[in-house]
Order: sequence, then C-alpha cells, then structure tokens
Amino acid sequence: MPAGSEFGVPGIARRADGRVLIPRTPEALWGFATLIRGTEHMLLDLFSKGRLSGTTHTCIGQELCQMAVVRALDHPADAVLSNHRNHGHFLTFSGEFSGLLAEVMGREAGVCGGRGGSQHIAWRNFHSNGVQGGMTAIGAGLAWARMDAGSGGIVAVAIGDGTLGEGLVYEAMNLAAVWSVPLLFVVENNGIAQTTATAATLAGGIADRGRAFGLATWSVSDSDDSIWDVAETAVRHVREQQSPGFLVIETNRLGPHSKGDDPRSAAELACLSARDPLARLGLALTPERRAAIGEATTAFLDNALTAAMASPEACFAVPPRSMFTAAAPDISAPPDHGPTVRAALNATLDRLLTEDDRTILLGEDLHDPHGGAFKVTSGLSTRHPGRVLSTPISEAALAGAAIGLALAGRRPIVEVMFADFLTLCADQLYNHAIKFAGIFPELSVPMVIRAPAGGRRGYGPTHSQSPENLFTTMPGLTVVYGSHRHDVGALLWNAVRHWPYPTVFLEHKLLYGVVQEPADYLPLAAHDADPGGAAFPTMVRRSAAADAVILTYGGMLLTVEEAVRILERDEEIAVDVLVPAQLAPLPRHALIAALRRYDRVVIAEEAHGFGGVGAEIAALLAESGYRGQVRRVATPPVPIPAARTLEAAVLPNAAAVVHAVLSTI
Amino acid sequence: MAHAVHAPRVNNNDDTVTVVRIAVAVGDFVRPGDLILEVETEKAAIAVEAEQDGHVLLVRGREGDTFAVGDVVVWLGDTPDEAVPEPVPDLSAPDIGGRDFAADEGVTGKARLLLSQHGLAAEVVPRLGSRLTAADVQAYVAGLAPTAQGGIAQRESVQRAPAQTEALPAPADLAPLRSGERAVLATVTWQRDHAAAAFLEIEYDPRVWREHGADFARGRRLLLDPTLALMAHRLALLAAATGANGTVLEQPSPRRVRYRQVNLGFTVQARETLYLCVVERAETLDPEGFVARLGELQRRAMAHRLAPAEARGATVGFTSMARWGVLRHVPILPPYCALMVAHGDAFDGGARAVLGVTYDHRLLSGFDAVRLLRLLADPARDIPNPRL
Amino acid sequence: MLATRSEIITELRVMLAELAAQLGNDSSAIAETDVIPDCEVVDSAGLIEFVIMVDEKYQLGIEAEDMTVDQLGTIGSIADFVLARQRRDSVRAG
Repeated sequence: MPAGSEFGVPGIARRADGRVLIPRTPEALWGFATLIRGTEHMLLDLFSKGRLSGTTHTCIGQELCQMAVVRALDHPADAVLSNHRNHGHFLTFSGEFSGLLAEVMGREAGVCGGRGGSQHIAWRNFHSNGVQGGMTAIGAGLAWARMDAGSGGIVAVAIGDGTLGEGLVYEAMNLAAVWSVPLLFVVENNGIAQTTATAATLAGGIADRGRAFGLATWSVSDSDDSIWDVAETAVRHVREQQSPGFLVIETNRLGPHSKGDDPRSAAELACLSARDPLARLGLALTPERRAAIGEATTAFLDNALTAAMASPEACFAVPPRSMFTAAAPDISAPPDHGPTVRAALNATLDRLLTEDDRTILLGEDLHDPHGGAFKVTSGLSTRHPGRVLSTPISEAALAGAAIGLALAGRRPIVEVMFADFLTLCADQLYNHAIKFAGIFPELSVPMVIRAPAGGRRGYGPTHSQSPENLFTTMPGLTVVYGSHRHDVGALLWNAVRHWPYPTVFLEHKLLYGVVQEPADYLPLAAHDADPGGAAFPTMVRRSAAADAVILTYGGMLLTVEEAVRILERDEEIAVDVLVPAQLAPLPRHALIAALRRYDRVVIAEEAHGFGGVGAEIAALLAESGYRGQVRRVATPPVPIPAARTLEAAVLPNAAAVVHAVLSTI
Repeated sequence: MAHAVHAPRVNNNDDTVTVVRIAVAVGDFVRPGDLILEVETEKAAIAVEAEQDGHVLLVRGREGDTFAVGDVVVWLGDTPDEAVPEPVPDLSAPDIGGRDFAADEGVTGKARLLLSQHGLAAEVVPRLGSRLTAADVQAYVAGLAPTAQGGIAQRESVQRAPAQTEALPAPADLAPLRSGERAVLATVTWQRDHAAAAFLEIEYDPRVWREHGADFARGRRLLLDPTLALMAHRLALLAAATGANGTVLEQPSPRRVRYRQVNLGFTVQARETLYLCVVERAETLDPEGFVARLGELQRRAMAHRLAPAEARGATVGFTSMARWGVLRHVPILPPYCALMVAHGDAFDGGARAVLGVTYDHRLLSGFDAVRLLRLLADPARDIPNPRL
Repeated sequence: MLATRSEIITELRVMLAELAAQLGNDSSAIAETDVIPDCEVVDSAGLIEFVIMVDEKYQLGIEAEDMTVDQLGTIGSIADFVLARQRRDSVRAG
C-alpha cells in the first residue's frame, strides 16, 4: 500500500507520537487541504439537513493557513492551542477525521465523547476553547513549562484578527515577551470578524502589534508559495531562540462565520473564490492527479462519515451531578511553623518549594526584599531562585499562565494582591480552568490562587471586599477560606498537594498577624459524601447545652467570637460556633447534620449576603426539613466606604451578630 | 489642654506595636524632640518623640506592653495637674455601646428564652439584680428548688398575688399557668365546648401484638420495644382508610372535615411534663420509617428538646398508660381530633388487655369506633381499602 | 482528653444505676454483655432516658439508625460506640 493511503493522499504518514506528517509535495499539501475542505463542506451539509445541532465554525478558504504552522511543529512536545475555528488545526495535528465528525455530531466515538462539540477539543497536546483569546495566556504557561523543562517543545496559539480586540491577548504577548518563552502567536487575518469587517474594528497595524512587544514578527499570505517556508522559519526561530514570535497570515474565509452569518455580497465572495489558495495550489498538479486524489479523499471522507454515523449518540452511563470525584484526599502532616497565620503560610510555601519541585509561585511583587504585599512570600525568592516569579500587573494572564502551568504538570500558586482583583481572573477561571476538567476528564488543573480578602482596615471600596460568593457559585471551583482556629498552613498544604482542582484560597487581611490556635475548637467529623472534607476541616466549638449555633468563616470569626463573649457574659446565652474552611464544594452533609441539632442557627459572613454561602446553607437546611430558626448576618449590598467610622457602620459588627441571635428568641 | 501620644503605625502590615522603652515618667516636662517612647514590631523599631512642650500626665502601660496602632500611650498636658480626658472611643472596635439591637435591657436573652418556654411574663418573676436572669426564672419555676437534672419541674410555685374577687370556697394562692398547663387547658376545654365525646372499650389478647412487636424488633435488632409504635402506625393507616381522620365544624355552618393526611399524636411523659409528639403524614411512612421517626420524637421529648412544630397538628391520637400498670383510662380528645385511642396494661397473666377509645360522636358512631378498635387489636387483619 | 474504655464503663454504670434506682431497681449485677432491655431494671422510657443521658454526656449525636441492640444494647457495646465516635471526632494533626 502506498504511503498516505490511510487518508487517500500520497505521501502522508504518521509519526511515532501519532502526529500527522505532511511532506511539502504539492500532492500531499493539496490532498490534505482538500480533505479539510471536504470535511467542512460535509459538516455544513449535515447542518443544513438538520443532522447536526449546536454550532460549528468552518475554515473553508483558510485550509492552507491553518495547515502551515501545525504541520511545521515537528517535536513531540509541541502544543497547539486553537479557538472556535479549529478544524483545520485539529485535523492537521491529529488526522482524526472520523473522530472530529463524530464529535460535532455528538457521538460516542467523538474525540471528546461529544462533550466538547465543534469548538472545545482536547486531544493530547491540542487544546481549543470557544472564548476569543482565552487560550493565549494559557499558552504562555505551557510554554514556560516547556522552557523550564528544557524539553525543546514550543506552543503555537492561533487567533483571528477579530481576537485582537481582546485585552488578554496583549497581556499574554507582554508576559510571553517578559518571560521569553517559546510561544508562537499565529494571527489568521481573514479581514472579517463574524460579520464585521476588520477595518471597522481594528486600529493600527496587525504586525505592528507583534513588534510593539518586541516579538519576532513575520507576515505572509496563504496565496503565497512561501507560506510553508515562513511557517517553518517562525517555528524554528521560536524553538531555537526560546523566545516568543508573532506570525501574521493573510487569508480569506470563503464560508460564513458559523452558519449563514455572512454579510458579504455575492460579488465579493466570487472575487475571493477566484483567489482561493487551495485552487491555486491545485494548479501545480495535473487535472488527472487532482481527480484521482480527489476521488480517493472523497472515498476516505465518506468512510469517515459512515464510521462516525455508525457510532451511537453519546449518553451518560450516570448523568454527572458534581465536578468532584476525587476520593477523600490523603493528608500529610503540615509543616512546623511560627504561631501567626502569615508565618504558617510562609513556612508552608517554603516547604512546598523545597519538597515538591513542581511548585512554582507567581504574582506581583513577590520577590525579596518586598516579599509580597502582605509579606507572605518573604524570603522565598532568595531561598528558591527561579521558582518565585514576579509578574506584570496582568491578573487575567496570571491566571491563564497558571492554568497552562498546571496542565503541564506543575503546581502553580498564584498570589493576587487583593481578592477584589480576582474578578480580573474571572473568565480564565469560569470558562477555562473549571471547564477543562469537566469537559475533558483526563485533564486536571491543580492550581491555587491565593488572595488577601476582607475589610476593617479602611482600605476602601475596592480593597476591602469579601468576594467569595462570586466564586462559590462557579461549578467545579473550590473556595477555601481559613480562620485563626484552623491551621491555615495545613489548609494550603492540602490545597496544593492533595486537591487536584482549581482552588481560590482566601486569607483575611486581619488574620495575618494573628496567632492561629484552635483553643477549645475541635475538627468536626468529616462526612464521606463531602468531597475534600477531611483536607479542609470544619472547626467547631461546643458548649454543654448550647442555645444556638453560629456558623461563620474566615476573618468574620474574630467578630463572632466577640459576639459570643457578649452573649455569654451579658445574655447568659451559650452559643456553639461552627467554622467551615471549605466554602465550595460545601461540606453540606456534615454541616447540615451538625446544624440540625440546634433550634437556632445564625450564619454570619462579611460578604454581601445575597445568594451567598449563608443563603445556600439556609436553603439546604430548609430542604432537610429543619424546623428551627435561621438568621443571616452579612454586609448590606452597598460599597464598603473608606473612612473607618463609615466602614464600621457598614460591615457587620459583633452587635449585629448578637442581635441576630437574640432575635431568634 | 491635654494632647495624646499615640502608638504609631510602624509598617502597613502590623496593627499592633510593643513598647520597648518608656523614656518619661508622670511629672516630667518634655520639649520637642525629646524621646518619649520606643516601639517595635517584628520587622522594625521606631522612636516616638515629643512634638510640642508638655507635662506628662499619664503613662498608660509598661515596657513590654502591646498597644493597638492608634491607642493612646501617653497623655501630655499644658500644665502638670490637668485632668486626663475621658478615654477616646476605640473606632476600630465594633460599636456595641449604643445597644442598637432589640435586646431587652431588663431581661437577659436566656431569661427571655426560658420565659417563652414556660409561657411566663417577665413581670411575674422576681429578680435579684437589675436585669432578670436565667437563674431568676429557673428559681421561680422550680419553686426555689432546682431539680437534680437542671430541668424544670412541674411544681407549684408561689406567687403571693392578691386574691381575685372570685367565688372560691376557701382562701387560696394563685399562680399563672405554665405553657404546658395552658396547653392542657386548651385541649380539655375544646372537648368540653365543641366535641360530642363518647367512649367505649374492647378486650383483646395482647400477646398477638407482643409477638408481632418482638418479631419486628428482633429482625431489625432494635433496642427499644416497637410494639406501641407499630400499633400507633396501624391506627394511622386505619384512620386514613376508614374516614375517621377528620372532624366536624359547626360554625359558620356545619361541615365535615376530612384531613388529607394523618398526623399521629402519641403521648410521651417526660418526667413530669406531658408531650403530644406528632408524626406528620404517618400514613405515608412504612412501619420502619414510622418507628424511627416516633423514636426520634420520643427522644427529643424526653430531653425536653421537642420543637413546637413537632408537638402540634395531631389529627388522631394514641396514648398508653401501661407503663404505670393502668388497665383502662378515658383519654381526652386533642383539639380537632375525632379519635384518641387508650392502650392499657395487660392483666390475667398477660392474656387480656383493654383498648379504649374516646371518639367524637359528631363524626363517628359507636359502630365505627368498635370496628376500628377490632381492626387495631389484630395486626394480622388487612387494612380495608379506603372508602372514597 | 479522651476517656478510656473502663472509665466510660464506670460512668455508664453510674448513670444506669441512677435511673434504675428511680424505679426501685438495682442494676449493679448487670454484666457488660447483658442486653439491658432484657434485664428489666429500667422500662422503655427509662431506656430512652439512658440513651439521652449518654448522648448528651459524650456528644454522640445518636440517630435513629443507631438505636439497635447491637450498637447500644449492652453496657459494653455502648462503651465501644462512645470510643468509636470519640476517635472519629478527636483532634487531628491538621
């Protein structure tokens, strides 16, 4: 059998690592590009017949553009990150035609079992997602890991001209350049973003952007024979120099954005068709060869479609109800450390860096002598050179890079200077970090983002907030928030070492200097049905015959303990205190079982109460048939003022907690 | 006038400082630039100097003490015998001075809780101090003699109130009713004022039930004898099936009430307090579920932790005085119930026992009542299909 | 500080004796392995009281499914139950 008969295209072979090898012969190039176009037409045809649901974005007209870089990535550690218009990239990378068809058709045999569909694919070192620009910073992280490991692999991230409207792209370019990592940005400029001409939305030149960040920059058109050379040159440069590059490919989209959304006139489209690079490439072959290869590729694609359609529609053996499937984590002994919360965190980070060389810290101003805005990383950059990275002020890119590092097997711990700024990371967490493990079960993103939270220091509206309930509602995201009755170092240790899910780790600013000491608190017995329960224990302080229980967490415990003292001293009311450290996934079985024993439950939080942790617990109590009384104490839905007197009037104080307890009587 | 020397902020992250040296004493006179204090944190130390002339009036602490940033450490005055101002309110501490919450100045929270539990008004309870405390309430309720368990005994207590102008046959002391007593009063007066209560009883062989209960317990390794619970459960099923689960309303016009669920009330005597524990939707539970639920309620009642919602809403009732060797007794109908079955102790060597029932004759006839008791007495007989 | 098994046994005996005495009975002859309901020193209500006392003393959080002869039927099995719960609830290193 002639080589390439797998695809019906002469010359095409498979590498040992499963990658497709496309030689630079006209037959191989034209043949494979024809396969891509054939696949795309097949998909549009199936949609028009109602055989497919959802959406897809074809690369008709851009086949050569999408093949050029991917075919040049000749190292097994090379990675490709793509976007919604990913079929050309994916097919060139993997050769999985039947698998792609089945995936878009929602079949079991789909490369992602039907979970990702057209846009969201993870297959070995190929990864695409549907949020514009969202993969760019992840690419920086993947590239950093390759550079650090000296693996020789590079990362190519493909974006469109329309993507240049997204800020994260610039953060990623800046970061890649500052870090000098082997990341190649491939801008596929087809002059149109969905239905809007690029000219209307893009200021300045595209290639100028690469040069502005000091990236090695190339421009080429896909109707130019040199496209294959230029792509290979860019790849080689990035690999040999271990520094980022910016390749702009002029191309044209002949089809719609997805289906039917194409505002261009028939005349314009005809003009573009006339310039079709695939047709131009085909002119290097005789009509007979084109016909022969065309027939063979058509037969191949028919078989691929048949195989895809033969696969049953994807279905769940058991529909998923939770993102967390890890069994009770193995918990090792936490490090010894000084008495304060800050000392515990510092010692834990130190020991993580010492004992686990996958650990890496990223954030702003982490390096000595500053050691982080709240001094938590003090001394670490000196003791562990190259493992504590101070980064540009790019929270979104930081989060993205951490995702990339985590995917590459590292254990990144990101410090965001104030929890208020976590919103800048929100898309990377919401649409990327927590999506990957859910959609692609073989992936895990074991990253931790730490941030100081909370008020009562007069820092004002954007430096004092408790945003935990923005993140507890993101399915698959873990939120851990310790108190001074917890061993916060142990919480961090477990989050990094024994919990393979993306985690937001909050630390109340007031607690850094506070001595952590359980005193008369004990760990509540964990319930087997609560994921992570034993790793992030709930602490409980019990008295004999308590009249009520207060559930609280984080820095609010200081205020609650004051309220408890007042209640005991002035009102003779005995109150138990329940302090979870894990806010999401909430250890609801253990908490509800514990709370139901009381006739009065008060939940106190410093966050805004609407839709928060307290609301969730109250709902769970109601669902459990609880007949007792529930009250919530929280910050009203107004900004936290800066003046200390004003702040004290807005944030819940001990009086508010006392009032809440007394109101249940 | 006096001016304060505050504990300074040494760095952004430390909210407290330690005083390592106090360089002045009360009575000293200082000039600008004179050293007053040296303070330090983990990371740095600074000297605090006088900014203006002054006499040292007060030094609020000693070397080694820790102060919160902003606290006054030293007071200086223009003259040596000036008064030191009142303490400046600590703005960093939560403001609780105003008592802006609805706490009762006169009564502690625990005292209010106990007053509510026993249906007492604060005014009737004598207090030792200015605020009414839990101890005051407990003492009042216990008649000055708390029980060994710390619980509240159902003892008469003493309130020497002036006698009412009622036609009582002898001098008497009056006392307000406690909540338990008020509940009993409400119950018996409902029967007196509304129901047409009638009573009948049958004899049966209790050994059949005893064995049924023992089998059930043995198979499930139960700690407690479930016989009475199973009997009550069967009563619930029978009530649902025979139309005895209802009542009659006469105002504004006579109507028959048919409850859509059976809430089975089961009496529990916890020391000296009588509770009616209510298992809601008893007819939807299987025997295990009912036994478990009733067991839970009994435990809570005996620990005096029954929630108010768990002690009301009965639609039929079951009571047993077998524990005290009572053979037969005539129970009172809980309000809006048409049936209250009374279970008595076995006699004649355990071969005979009595099941009685107080029933509301506005709803049920004697025949209905006896038929139900016969079905109740034999756990092996089928429950009839519900009449539609 | 966690109690030892024999300390628990002693405390249980004291509580049981108190309840039995209220009915005029003597529970001192009951062996660790005797099934308490069968010994007839306390009635059903007394048994419930005993369970409540034990529950409150050791903060066990007894549920309906625990109320079996195997778990709580003898002084010995109650002591083992308490020990198991105490171990589960005891302070961990982190």
